[in-house]
Amino acid sequence: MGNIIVNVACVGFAKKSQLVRNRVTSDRDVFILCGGRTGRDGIHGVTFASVDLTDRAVEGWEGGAVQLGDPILKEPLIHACIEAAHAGLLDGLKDLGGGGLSCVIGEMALAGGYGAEVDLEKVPLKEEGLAPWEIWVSESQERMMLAVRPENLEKVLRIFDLYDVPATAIARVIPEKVCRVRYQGVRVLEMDLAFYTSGPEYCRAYGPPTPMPSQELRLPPEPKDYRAAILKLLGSPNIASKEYVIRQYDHEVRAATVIKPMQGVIGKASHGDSAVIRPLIDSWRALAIAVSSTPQYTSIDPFQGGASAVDEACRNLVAVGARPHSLTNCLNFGNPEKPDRLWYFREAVRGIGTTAQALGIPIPSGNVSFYNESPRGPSPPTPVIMAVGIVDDLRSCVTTDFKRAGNRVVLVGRTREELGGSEYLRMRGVSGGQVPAVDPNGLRAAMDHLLLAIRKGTVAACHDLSHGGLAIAVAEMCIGGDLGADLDTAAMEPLRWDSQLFAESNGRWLVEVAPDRFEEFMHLMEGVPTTFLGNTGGRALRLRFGRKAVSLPLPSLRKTWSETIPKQVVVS
Amino acid sequence: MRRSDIRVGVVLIEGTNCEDESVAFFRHLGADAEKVHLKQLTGDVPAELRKRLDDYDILMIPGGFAAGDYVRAGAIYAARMRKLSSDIIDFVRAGKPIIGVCNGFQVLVEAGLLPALGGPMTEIPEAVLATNDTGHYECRPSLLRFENGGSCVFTRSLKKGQVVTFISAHAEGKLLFPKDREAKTLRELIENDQIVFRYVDDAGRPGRYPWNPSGTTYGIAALCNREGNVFGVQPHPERCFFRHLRPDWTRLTGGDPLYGDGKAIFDGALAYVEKKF
Repeated sequence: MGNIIVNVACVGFAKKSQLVRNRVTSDRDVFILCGGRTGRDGIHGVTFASVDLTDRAVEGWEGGAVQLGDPILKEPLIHACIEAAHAGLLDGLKDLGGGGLSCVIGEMALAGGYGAEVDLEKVPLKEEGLAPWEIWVSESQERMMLAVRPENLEKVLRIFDLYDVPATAIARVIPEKVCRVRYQGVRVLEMDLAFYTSGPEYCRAYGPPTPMPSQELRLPPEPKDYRAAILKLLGSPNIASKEYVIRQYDHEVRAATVIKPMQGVIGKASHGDSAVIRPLIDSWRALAIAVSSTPQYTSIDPFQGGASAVDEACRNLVAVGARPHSLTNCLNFGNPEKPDRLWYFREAVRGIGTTAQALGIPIPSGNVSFYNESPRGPSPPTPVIMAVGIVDDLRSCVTTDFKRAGNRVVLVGRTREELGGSEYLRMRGVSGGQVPAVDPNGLRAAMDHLLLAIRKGTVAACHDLSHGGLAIAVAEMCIGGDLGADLDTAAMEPLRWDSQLFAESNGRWLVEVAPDRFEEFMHLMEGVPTTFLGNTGGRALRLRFGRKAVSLPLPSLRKTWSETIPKQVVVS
Repeated sequence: MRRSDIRVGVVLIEGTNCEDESVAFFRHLGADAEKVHLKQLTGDVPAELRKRLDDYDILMIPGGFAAGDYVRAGAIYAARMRKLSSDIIDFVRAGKPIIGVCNGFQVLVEAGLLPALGGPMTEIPEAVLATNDTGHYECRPSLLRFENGGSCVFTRSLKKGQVVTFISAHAEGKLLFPKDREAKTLRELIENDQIVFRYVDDAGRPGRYPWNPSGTTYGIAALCNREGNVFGVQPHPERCFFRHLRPDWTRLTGGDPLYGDGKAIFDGALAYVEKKF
């Protein structure tokens, strides 16, 4: 077993006027630790997360480095914190993460320009006998730290009592910038806070691996049977339907999900590009959320891999009609003490930053996960981007499923012989090759035009082209709409048919347009490369190029696409 | 009674997660709705936070994972509710509506408020909502055929045989009766007009998985008590309250420009109270 990477993102809504900072505000503030009790679980959790998972290393960490979650304490903890914040009772608020109390108190105090004095024996414990240092560094879950003025203390405690969530004053702000920790009256730690809290700056060696991954293009011979090639690709795990997984998460909670992850005819839905949330019922404004990741490209060319992840996330947002607003990320890389791993990281960050800057999209937060290694070597360098976009009026959102027979199908963007890191070459067993490049200016123009075309209501369906290229995008649109299509790729760039169908060039979308809106659509897209490919209709996906032609009936598309994941994960 | 005077209590405990939108939608329709913690009703709070059950005209038990659904889905919530048994029985006997959605349906069954064949709030549950046949959580749109002959006070604007779209989101939605009384119980429920919705497929016929997401008996998705004022529904009507919450709204032409099928349930409860009280 390798090192499995799991990334989770969280999106919240708040009024700007009710935001609480993660620092103390006054020299009279009292620190209230609320939520779960502190235990031995999660001691050195973050340190554990940064250890190479070699067999030897794991042995030494059996003492419970992994925290034990308790969602039924977490849920009321969220309610109580929000209620206290909305009542204006909080001077500061911060979650306990890596390092537990040892980080949160110092960080909140220093950010406010003060110090703190802590009485460790006041911390509620899960079990007897924890040493003071264990209490100080435990990373037990479901804990938050509040900074509250003495006069608000009782009110805050009453809110937490209603929700049956423990809350205890354990420390107070002091004017000197020191962190002083006592345990049963005995001073166990006193340190200058700036020294204690600010981190060291590393200067580590970095450089490309030798040899560099090959970007030389050695196309395998053209497939003899395109029908088989498309079906095989459609059934490959990275492309096949994730419905089995999606339906096991509550993607409808809060009754605000106006565009779902699965889109199309009920019972026949296909993958969407973004989900859209409507935070307020008295406004049509909505928030689109998309995620992308490019480990295959990043393994070959980390700069373009990082750039492509941004490109894809933005494409996903635009595909539903949302203007990209901001990005965050989780950057999963190997051991940064090894120069080549650090080089991959640097290059990917450069690719993400350069592209986001060119597009004018801020990245206000992020997360880094290093040391993703196992006895079998490093995990693929995996930048994950989560992007959010604003929809001005959710009623103009579009989904990926084909809507009506007789509509036109248009490809937006340019297709190049960019097959490096593609699902197609992987299926063919070929490594290396030119990965898709990013053209931020072209992308920006295409996004602007397409967003306007969507807002004007000329677009019936839209899907971005990513894994598997054109062939897979159109297959998914057919599956979700339960409707065939007849496309001829002759008008595309003059490439071999497998490049036209399977290249994963960035900055592209497939768009369905009703005939009576076609002229308007093409007018709105002026200046952006577009190719008319054919029409929707029938009960099969038909693809043609010169004398080559394939016909894939809807039932076989759906069956191949739907069966892979359940077959691989269901143990029966 | 005027709509703006109708007081709706949406009762939560730890793990409840559908209370905010439920309150918002009742308010959107003009009612005076609020969240209330079960502890405020059972008196386990300081005096100034206490509430009385008869402060409310409609009670709603919203969805979620109350108390982690430990023991059985809804069991802990229901056990804590039993402290209020005599107040709840008075509430039901007065004809005031109680609705439980998803986890709330599970709570009503565990509390003996549904199907309530042996009295308004039976000591021992007469049914159970067991784990889905797939063994896991299912979040998917469901098509429900309206089966009720008019007893249920929440659904009077619907026509028998009409199919509505609600959202299923549960791991325990398989309604089961005691094995030795299964056929008899089902017959009674049909005779008493207590079955409100059944899962159907896209052709309107009783459907198998995934149309019936849990494998529930007789495709039952919603029940009411004999009097029709206690109503439990497994898929979420509030998650289809607006047109743009329906999973296939981008495919629709025509229809109500603002609302989805779920609004009828909220409207139904309010219209009933307006008329009766």
